[in-house]
Amino acid sequence: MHVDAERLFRYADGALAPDDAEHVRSHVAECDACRVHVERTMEEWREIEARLGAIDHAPPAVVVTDIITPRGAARFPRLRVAAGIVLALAVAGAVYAVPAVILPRWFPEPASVEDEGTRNRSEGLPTTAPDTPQAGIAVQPGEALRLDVATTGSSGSLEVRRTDGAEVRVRAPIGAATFATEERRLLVTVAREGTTIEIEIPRTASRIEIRVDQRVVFRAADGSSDPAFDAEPDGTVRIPFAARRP
Amino acid sequence: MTTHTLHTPAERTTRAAPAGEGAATAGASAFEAAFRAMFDGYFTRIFRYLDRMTGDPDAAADAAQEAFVRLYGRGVMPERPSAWLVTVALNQMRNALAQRTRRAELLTVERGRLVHSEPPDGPADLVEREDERRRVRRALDLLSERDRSLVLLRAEGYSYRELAEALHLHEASIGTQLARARARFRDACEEPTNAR
Repeated sequence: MHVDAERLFRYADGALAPDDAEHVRSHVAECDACRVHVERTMEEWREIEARLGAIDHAPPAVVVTDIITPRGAARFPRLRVAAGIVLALAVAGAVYAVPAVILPRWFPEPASVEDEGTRNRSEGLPTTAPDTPQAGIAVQPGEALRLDVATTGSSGSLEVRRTDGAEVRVRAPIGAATFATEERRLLVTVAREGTTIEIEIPRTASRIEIRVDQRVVFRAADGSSDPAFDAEPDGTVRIPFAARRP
Repeated sequence: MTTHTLHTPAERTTRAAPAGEGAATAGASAFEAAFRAMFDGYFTRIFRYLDRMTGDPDAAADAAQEAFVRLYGRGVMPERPSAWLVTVALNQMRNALAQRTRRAELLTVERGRLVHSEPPDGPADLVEREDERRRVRRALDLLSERDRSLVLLRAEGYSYRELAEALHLHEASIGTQLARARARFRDACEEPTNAR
């Protein structure tokens, strides 16, 4: 007499009490039909777990001390933090802009907000003042330029546009990334899940190549983009990159 | 090569310094010790469960964090904290998605990726990986929320009892319900990806 299906499933899932599991184990050892049933169930679970890994994103870098705060202290869901930053910036900007306020004189040059990642490693290269409030880097394309994006296992996307400007400009308007330059190479390291990297390429640039984790995802030469890279109606080429499997 | 940085006042990659860390660790009440153990054991699993449920890692991260914030705010552990966390996190997720009508956005994003993520001359394994991702995502989306939760929570190692409590099901038939959910997932994975 066969073991009923519910018990077999429980046995295969390791969810039976020890005594009952022993009883089912004895039966399965002698019954081909039940053994096949159990083996198939276990195999299916292994397959499911492997397949589910295909859609995983990197977990957020949250530690328990982010949660354990003094009772009543502010908590940090993303939107509240973002709202706080926006409010603080708005207040700072308003104060800075008010005529006769001494504050602008304390900052005769545009304020540098470089951190470790945004520091330009090409010391000695001539720099120009930033003219945009967004994080990023701009370079003269020269004869050839390679842009290397390291995704660090995150998912996100590149948005590539051709412009009439003279510089290759790279920004991370959503998420976070760090930027560095080398001779004929621009390095972008994605620092957060879901980051969008905007890349502006001059129409006049001779040769530009974009790689994501060493894989070529975009090429442009002598003023035109490779037609294989499908652009949207507004001229933007969107290139998503997926999180790597663990 | 002329280079300059485009500065930002906004995004930073460092997380905010934890407030009250010293007091929390020094005092280490029994509850806090239990909470830390729960966090270490379940935060990533809850996040992964929600992420797989919806395909929205940002919303999953927020909902998982909020569930743990609420657990900490209780000051005492519920009888089945793992099941409690699932219930609270899932409710958070539902509310967030309903507010943002996120579903339509997700579908739009998925479609966009189908077109543009295929590298024009990339190796076959990248295309296969993307195809598998789409297939699994679509298969999960075809399941009922209950079946999806059953498969995903079991894959996270939840026991039959935890599944029954978190999903308000009869524990006596969890094995059979899991088998049905698993079969539906398998069948959905086998459907051609252009079936819909």
